[in-house]
Amino acid sequence: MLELYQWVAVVASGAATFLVVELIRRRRIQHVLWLPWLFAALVPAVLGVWIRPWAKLARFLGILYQPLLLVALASLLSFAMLLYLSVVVSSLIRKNLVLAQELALLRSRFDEANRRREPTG
Amino acid sequence: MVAVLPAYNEASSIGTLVAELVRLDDPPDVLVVDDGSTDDTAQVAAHAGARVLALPFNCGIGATVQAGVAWGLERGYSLIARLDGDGQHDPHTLSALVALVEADRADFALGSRYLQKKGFQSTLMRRLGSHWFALLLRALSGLRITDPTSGCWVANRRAAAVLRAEYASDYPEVDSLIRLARSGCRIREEPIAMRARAGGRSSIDAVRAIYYMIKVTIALVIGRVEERAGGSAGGDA
Repeated sequence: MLELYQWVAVVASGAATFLVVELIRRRRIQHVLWLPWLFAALVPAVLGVWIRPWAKLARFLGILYQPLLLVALASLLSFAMLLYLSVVVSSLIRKNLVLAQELALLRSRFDEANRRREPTG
Repeated sequence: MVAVLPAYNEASSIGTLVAELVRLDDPPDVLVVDDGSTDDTAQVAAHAGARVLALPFNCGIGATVQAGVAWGLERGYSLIARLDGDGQHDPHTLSALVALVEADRADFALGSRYLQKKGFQSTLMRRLGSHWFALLLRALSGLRITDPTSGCWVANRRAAAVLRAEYASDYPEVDSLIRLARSGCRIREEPIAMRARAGGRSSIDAVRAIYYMIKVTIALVIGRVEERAGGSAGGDA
């Protein structure tokens, strides 16, 4: 039988998963981004229900206050997510600049072609 | 030759600069690359006789210069020059840079404020920054450049193609010198005299100057590590 805190973890995780799935369904989140968020949403449920293996792992690592392992894991996950998002945003900035340049060059070519077509005189 | 003038909200100075350029004895074509200005920079430049390449929004100095270089290469210009749109570079100094490239003594001729220390001198912070980058460039890449942050240069098509392929989006001057050297381009400096800004406001304040120094220093060191890793990979192949 699950303890109350485990139920809280499962419900919170379920709500987070529902939110992520809903965003995917509405296409508000792109495919390159939804997988890590789905993973992050499911983690609290997994950790809440299967607590003994994590407690054993914490003891094995010599962590006296076992919940600290989860705090460390959460920090690591946050770091990984932010790093991943920074990589994605950097790629978008690069593509955005290339598009802006290409747009300006195309507009310039278009204007020149129009000027050549205009009657002179 | 085309003279590329990157400009962001330089309506108060760009017209005078374009007029000076088109009045030169051997006037270049003038291209003002408007970096999403919110004032009348594009209109003033066009009225003064420049071609205008208008970026749809503010993209930063690197993307702006690169767009101008791409424009020049597309139209077959053999020489591409760059001057700042704020009017701090005297257009008459271009001829010495052009002569270097035309005589095939350099692929990339860079105007230096510090070779003869003529004309307007920038703030102490900026001068310190320039000297720091000059030292770093020499230590890391062997390049002997006195003014690595200069925004006044003339490039032939070979050097321009290197800049077209890759140009850092912000604070690109030092990075581009390394790229040019790595690509085998010959870089030479020639003294130029600077003038005080004709108008507008500098985008680099004290805080940004410090950020610039830190960012470019890290980029230079990473570039050097990359270069060494590339060298080792090449050697193993």
